[in-house]
Amino acid sequence: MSAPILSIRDLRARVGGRDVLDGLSLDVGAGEVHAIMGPNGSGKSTLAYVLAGRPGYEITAGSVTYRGEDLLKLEPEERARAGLFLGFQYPVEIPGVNNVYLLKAALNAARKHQGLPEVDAFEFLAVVREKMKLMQMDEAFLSRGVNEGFSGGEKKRNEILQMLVLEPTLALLDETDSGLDIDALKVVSRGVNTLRAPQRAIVLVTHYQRLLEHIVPDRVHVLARGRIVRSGDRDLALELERRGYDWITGAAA
Amino acid sequence: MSTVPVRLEELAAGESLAPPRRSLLQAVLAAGLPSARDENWRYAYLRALDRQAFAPAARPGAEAQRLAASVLPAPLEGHARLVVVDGWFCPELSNEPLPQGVSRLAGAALDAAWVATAPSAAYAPATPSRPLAAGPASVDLRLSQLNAALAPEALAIELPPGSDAALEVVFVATQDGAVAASHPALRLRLGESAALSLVERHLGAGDAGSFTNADLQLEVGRGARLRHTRLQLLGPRARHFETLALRAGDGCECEFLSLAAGAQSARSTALLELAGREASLQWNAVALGDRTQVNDAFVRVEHAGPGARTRQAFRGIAAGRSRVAFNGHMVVREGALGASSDQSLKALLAGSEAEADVRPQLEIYVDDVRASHGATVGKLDEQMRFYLLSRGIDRETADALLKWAFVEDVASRIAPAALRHQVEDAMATQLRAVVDVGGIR
Repeated sequence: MSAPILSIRDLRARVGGRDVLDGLSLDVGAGEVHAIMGPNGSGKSTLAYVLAGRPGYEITAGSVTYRGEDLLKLEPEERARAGLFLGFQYPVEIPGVNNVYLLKAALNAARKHQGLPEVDAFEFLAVVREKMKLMQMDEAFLSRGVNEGFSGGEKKRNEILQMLVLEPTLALLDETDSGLDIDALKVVSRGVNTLRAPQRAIVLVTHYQRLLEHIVPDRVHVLARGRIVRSGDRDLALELERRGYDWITGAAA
Repeated sequence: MSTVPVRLEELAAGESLAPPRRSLLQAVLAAGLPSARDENWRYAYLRALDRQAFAPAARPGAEAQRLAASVLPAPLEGHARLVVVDGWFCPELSNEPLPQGVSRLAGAALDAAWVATAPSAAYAPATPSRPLAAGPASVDLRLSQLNAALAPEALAIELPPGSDAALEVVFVATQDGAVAASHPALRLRLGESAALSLVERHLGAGDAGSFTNADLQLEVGRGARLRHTRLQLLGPRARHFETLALRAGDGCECEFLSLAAGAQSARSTALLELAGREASLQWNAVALGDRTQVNDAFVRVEHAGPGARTRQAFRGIAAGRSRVAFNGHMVVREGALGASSDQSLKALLAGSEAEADVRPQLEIYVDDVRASHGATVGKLDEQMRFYLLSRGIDRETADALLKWAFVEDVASRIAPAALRHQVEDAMATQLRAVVDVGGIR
């Protein structure tokens, strides 16, 4: 196996005085899709936020290596420019900042980091329109404020749209399936699947197996009490669906 | 030319002012200029009045005109331009021929416009058809009185009933405030069912710190419509005071939109009276402070006529070590049955040593009234900031975008588009937005 895109070793993190990650280790290789499952409060969202660099999380031990680099040394905006993308569970509304402006500024920030010139305005719009069609989004969304007045499902589609435009190397999708009806789930899954590529890795944080019917993972991990207690292939997800989490988390105690 | 500042006391004692002006100035001095002890002046930077040369600047010569011409913005489509330099109307820089209804008042004609024999009520700001009280008046009118005593002339705009006009009045200050002061005056009367788009700008020329004490008196007749856009973009060393008085008649609609982003210190006083039945007022204001700027506004709306309506929105950002304050005082009189008043005052603290004060006040003398108000002072939203950072946006741009977003709901109401774009550019400069504003649009 080639060097993993993401390598987490014995990661411990505190938030609000509580240890939420307690010795988590995980390797995600290029071309792979991993699903991280687990009961509420197991540390799934914390892991996503810690990787994206959200303030307020204290790393007390361990290391995270992203494409051979110490990820934890980078600021959140540097992580993003280096190809890490976090799809938020609850995307925030920013009235007054235009969607298309954010998309373009984000893309240009990444391009600048790669030493590329700014994107051509017409090409950019053409790309965005194509991706919007895929996500079944109305073009009127572009001129609205970021997530302003969007329904829960629209916000999630917008996250995936951003991801499709930015083409990250590592995508972390935090409960992208929550709050979606079955049609929206299909649209979002299709968007994620188009991004599967040999040079890219995707980490899905999810509560339910149903997302994994649409995005088939290479590896499934169960997170409990801040560490990965079991890993397997997609059959593990099916087993979790049948048996719940207790048989694993109980075994881990 | 003397560089020794001429003090107000010398002007009041000397022979340079006509007798009625001199006695008005003496009355002002006897009552005293506003001080921090005065309720509505607590947040203003009043030291700007100390050691200030109040002597009116001389009529602008070629050099002052050249300076003023160099800062005039691109012409605004559809608007006739009137330029006032250091308090003097400048036909050379203005639209030719003068638009209908525009004239200059000076000498006895001007004096007659403000000299009243009997003192009127404490809160009766002068309007073109109601002369200023020469006697005791609220301290909030004191700078208006000072302007009346010292303004060399006034620009008068009289729009006949049913007319439709668009005017841009540019006030330029070119003189060093340590030597001379600018006392611009505007008198506007909008006839019945007339419509006016008025753009008012305050600009500085040269790098001297100018001193301005502007006075605007507006009277809007029955069923008339006024859309008044006010842009204060003076240079970083300017000291600016202004008083705007409005009297609005039956069923008229007045919409104000202001951006105050310039000057070292600025104080804006607005005394608005909804006198007629069903008069409506929208007051939208944005103030941006940075460095050590002080920007203070006091807006008093008197709902006197039945069904008078006000909607007031203020968005202020205090960055650096600046102070931004807004005091919105709503008064609903006994006769204003069915009046409504809505206030939304929000300020953003964007500097660790910055100060922001927003203060809604309601004074109601009638039962049948709808009044609501909200006032908040907050900081940049951390969740929004993290969202932008997580998309690769740098911190400086993220903060600039969030500040932009904070004021945009008010700024986006500016029309026409060309003017809105000018305002947005000015805001982007002030917010140090290293962003492509065109992209935000």
